Amino acid sequence: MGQGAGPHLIAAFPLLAQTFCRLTSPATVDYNCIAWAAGDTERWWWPRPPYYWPAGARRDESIDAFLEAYATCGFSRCDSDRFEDGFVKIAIYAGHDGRVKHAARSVSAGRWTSKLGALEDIEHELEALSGPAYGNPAAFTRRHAASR
Amino acid sequence: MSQLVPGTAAARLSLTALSSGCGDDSGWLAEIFIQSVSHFSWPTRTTKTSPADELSALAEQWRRETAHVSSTSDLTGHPAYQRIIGMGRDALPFLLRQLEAHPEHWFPALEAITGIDPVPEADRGRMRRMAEAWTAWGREQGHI
Repeated sequence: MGQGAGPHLIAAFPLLAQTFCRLTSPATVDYNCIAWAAGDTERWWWPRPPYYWPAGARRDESIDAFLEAYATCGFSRCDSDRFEDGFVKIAIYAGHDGRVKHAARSVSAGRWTSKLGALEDIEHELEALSGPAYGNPAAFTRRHAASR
Repeated sequence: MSQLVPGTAAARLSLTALSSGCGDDSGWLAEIFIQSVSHFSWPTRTTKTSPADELSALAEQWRRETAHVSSTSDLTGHPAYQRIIGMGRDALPFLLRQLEAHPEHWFPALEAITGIDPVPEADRGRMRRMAEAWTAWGREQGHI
């Protein structure tokens, strides 16, 4: 439990100390969680200028805006975080005010991958990143695993 | 403003003048008055922080407290980031030198201070290219 989650991560996400966690990349500022969930490791995605945002998606911080952004990559909204063979899912985290804070992508049953700001990528359990920093998983979207 | 330091000849003279012909309480009140004047005459800080030191401290605080943050609204809304923007054009050389060293999210601050955005549309979100666009602009303008 908690292997790989150093003090700098546990300070922001205390639940990582009690759950599965594995570092999967060095820290980099080249991309963020929103890009990583979509498979992009070259850009920082955010709806506010001057950052990248897919053309056609609305530019605000609502859950719908992020669903629209992922829809441009072939994702469509689904009901749950339940792992489904043949599909990759994205969980969108939002705060109580409905503003999106984070996104994670499914890896296998019960395992998700996240880029943490300008820090590392990790594999983790979905709820392990819930809290004041990222809010809670609030919406899910999926696409066939083979499609890009 | 001249200071009346307790125990000095000037203070004793003032005490005498204030308390002559009055009761003991007047002398005590005069002493309190002089101490108050003296206290408010001293500078609030004896060491002065340079703008460069203040910028470094604010940038370090911002890095430490937002490294895990992905939302650029949260990154730029952090109090330390807002204080850097509040320092205006004095912050430009510092921010541009930071970008020369490594890409960070100083782009919104630079845009807020200068009112321009030199990043080409095709490079949106590409942190290294965004940093290069800003540092090239900074060199052209003589800021770095």
